[in-house]
Amino acid sequence: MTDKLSSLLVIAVLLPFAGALTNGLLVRYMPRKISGIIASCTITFSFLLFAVVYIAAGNAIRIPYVVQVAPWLFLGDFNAGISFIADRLSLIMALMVTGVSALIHFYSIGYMGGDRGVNRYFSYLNLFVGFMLILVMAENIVLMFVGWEGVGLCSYLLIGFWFSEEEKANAGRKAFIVNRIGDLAFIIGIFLILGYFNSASFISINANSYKIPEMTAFAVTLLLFIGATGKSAQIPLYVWLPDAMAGPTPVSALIHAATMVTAGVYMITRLGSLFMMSDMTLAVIMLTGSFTALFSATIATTQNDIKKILAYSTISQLGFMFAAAGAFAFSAAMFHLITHAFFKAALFLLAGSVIHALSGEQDINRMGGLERHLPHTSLMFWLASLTIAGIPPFSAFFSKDEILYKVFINENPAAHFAPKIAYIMLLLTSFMTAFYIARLYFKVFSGDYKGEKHPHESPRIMIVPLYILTILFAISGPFGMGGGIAHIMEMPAKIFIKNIHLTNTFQRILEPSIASFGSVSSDVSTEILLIFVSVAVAFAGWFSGRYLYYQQISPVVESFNRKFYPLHNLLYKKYYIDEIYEFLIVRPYIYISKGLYGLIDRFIIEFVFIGLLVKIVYVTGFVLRVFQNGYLYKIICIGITGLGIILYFMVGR
Amino acid sequence: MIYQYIVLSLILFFIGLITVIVRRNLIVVLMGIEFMLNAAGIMFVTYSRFYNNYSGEFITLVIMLIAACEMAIGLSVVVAMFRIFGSVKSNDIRELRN
Repeated sequence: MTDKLSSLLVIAVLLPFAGALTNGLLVRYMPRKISGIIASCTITFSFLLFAVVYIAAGNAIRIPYVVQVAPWLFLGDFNAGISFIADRLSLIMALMVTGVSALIHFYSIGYMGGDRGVNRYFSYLNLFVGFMLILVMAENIVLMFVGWEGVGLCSYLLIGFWFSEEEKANAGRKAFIVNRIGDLAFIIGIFLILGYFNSASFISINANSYKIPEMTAFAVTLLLFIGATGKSAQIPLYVWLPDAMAGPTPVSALIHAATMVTAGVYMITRLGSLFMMSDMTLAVIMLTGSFTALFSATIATTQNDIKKILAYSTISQLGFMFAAAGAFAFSAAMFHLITHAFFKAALFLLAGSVIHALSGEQDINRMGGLERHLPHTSLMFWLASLTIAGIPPFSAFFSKDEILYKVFINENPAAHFAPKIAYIMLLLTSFMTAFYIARLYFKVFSGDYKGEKHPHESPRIMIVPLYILTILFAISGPFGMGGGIAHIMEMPAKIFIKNIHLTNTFQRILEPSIASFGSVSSDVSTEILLIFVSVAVAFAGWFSGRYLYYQQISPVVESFNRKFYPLHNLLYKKYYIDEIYEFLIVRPYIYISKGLYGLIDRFIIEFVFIGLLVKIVYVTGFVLRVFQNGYLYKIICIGITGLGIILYFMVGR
Repeated sequence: MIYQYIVLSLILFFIGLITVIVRRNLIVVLMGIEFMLNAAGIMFVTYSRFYNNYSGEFITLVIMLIAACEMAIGLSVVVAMFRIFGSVKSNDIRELRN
């Protein structure tokens, strides 16, 4: 890393902010169409700069390189500067963020072109990318927290983008408030880290993490994980993500599928060595992740809103990533993060394309038969559905399989049962995933069209970014292939090239910058067996979904729903979690707040303190006013009276 | 007879005091103050004759001197007030209140 590359890196991070400022302040004096072009270009340039830095730096970023930008916080002997960390982990993440963002920006030009607040939209979107890059590139946890809060703010602004509708504005508020709970835990975790390490730098935290006692490590990592559950929508703080679908669809694709919600996984990977210190936290993370995955996948099977299904699917896939992080397979988690960014962004954008085609319709019961009307969209949707279902040879098959394998072979000394339970839950989730995505695909694209409006294919500016994403998620898989798949692939490849040895390229690239145990030995046959199990599960899910929903109205589904009405209703109503939270937390909170408002604000502060003070001043003024009247004769009378009193006491007695 | 002199002094004093309180015209108020000062002077002279101590008569001279000075200043203040407010009525001059 040379100085030139460091300055390129800084420019790459600052470009989105420049775009946000330009769009926010200057574009209103220019033609409206230009805002999308400015926004897309800044992000594209940023992506190109990151690519240049990544390629030019080469092996120099095997060890983290720190770019000092400016001094910032000085608190005693502790200081945290604005400085960026450049290693493979952060640069790959930044490449993913800027790359996917650039595609989504281009897509947004088509999707949001007709909106009145389009420059506000692009300003927020650029600002989001800027904060996300701060989060990713931050060298210390305090600066990361700045990015963390910044993306939360942009998420809030963009969910409530159409704030004139109260429901959407409320969804934004819900996201913000739920994230506050996680952020509280996160910030306490940061303070604990600062207290124990006396440093905020990731490098020194990871290097010194072996020094802290077990219970402290447990507390710190658990608090950080709670922060991650807020941002990354895991149980118990996932409730904001389905509601966040009120925002424009490209926002859902960018913020609530590809980038921001993966911040928690990135943070855990970044602090890998610290998380390694507490097996208990790892078990908690793994179980929470896999349970969230299963939980939200079951909800996704019964929803009817195309974006809601994808939202629950996102929560579920994030659960996969957390399970991998809990199994200490950070490379697998990061790989799934990246493939997920590709295919889930694509799915959301395709859903946006469908919604766009039907002029705002989101209910999948009123779709169907769109295959004929939207040829490009339906083709890509089919590929993306196969991908998320985990069907080879697409990317999610590789990444998901790696996670399943890593969870299966994981051994957790704090909780021996955890990996096995997690594995079973994740396998069930794989089945559910394939099932609900097949249901979604066939309900939307096969059969007969049930709506009234005439669907029309999206403009080219929306289709081209989608094709790029499709290529990415279709072919990116083999870069992160696990050992078992490599073994299978080697066999036919040996016919052509002798001595071929396939490895997990992604893991090899990432290895220097993430924490790892070293390899846990396991025989290849187990791995190959697991691969066949997961592929079989994926196919079973996909074909059962196809069988049930290809006909659109299937008697089997109808009778099943009738027979198991309570179960279906429970899933359809999302386990009543919102209602439970409403009853257990929101209502008591409002009552307590009202009570405290009445007691403390209205009575003690307003009535006792302020009221009494006012009364004292008023009465004093009322008395003193008599003496300060400005009439000469009254003043003299008072003076004489006073003199008389003095004389009485001096002489009169 | 000392008694009549004291009564005279008191009558003069209260005439002055009531003038000061009741009258609104500042020039008359100044006259009232003059009344009170002279009442004090009569009181001093009376007691100095009564006790055969001449310092009282001397103080009376000092009071008359001060009264002259005070009157000069007081009248000039009244003139200045008249220039500013266009009136010498004390009721018209109530800057503190407003």
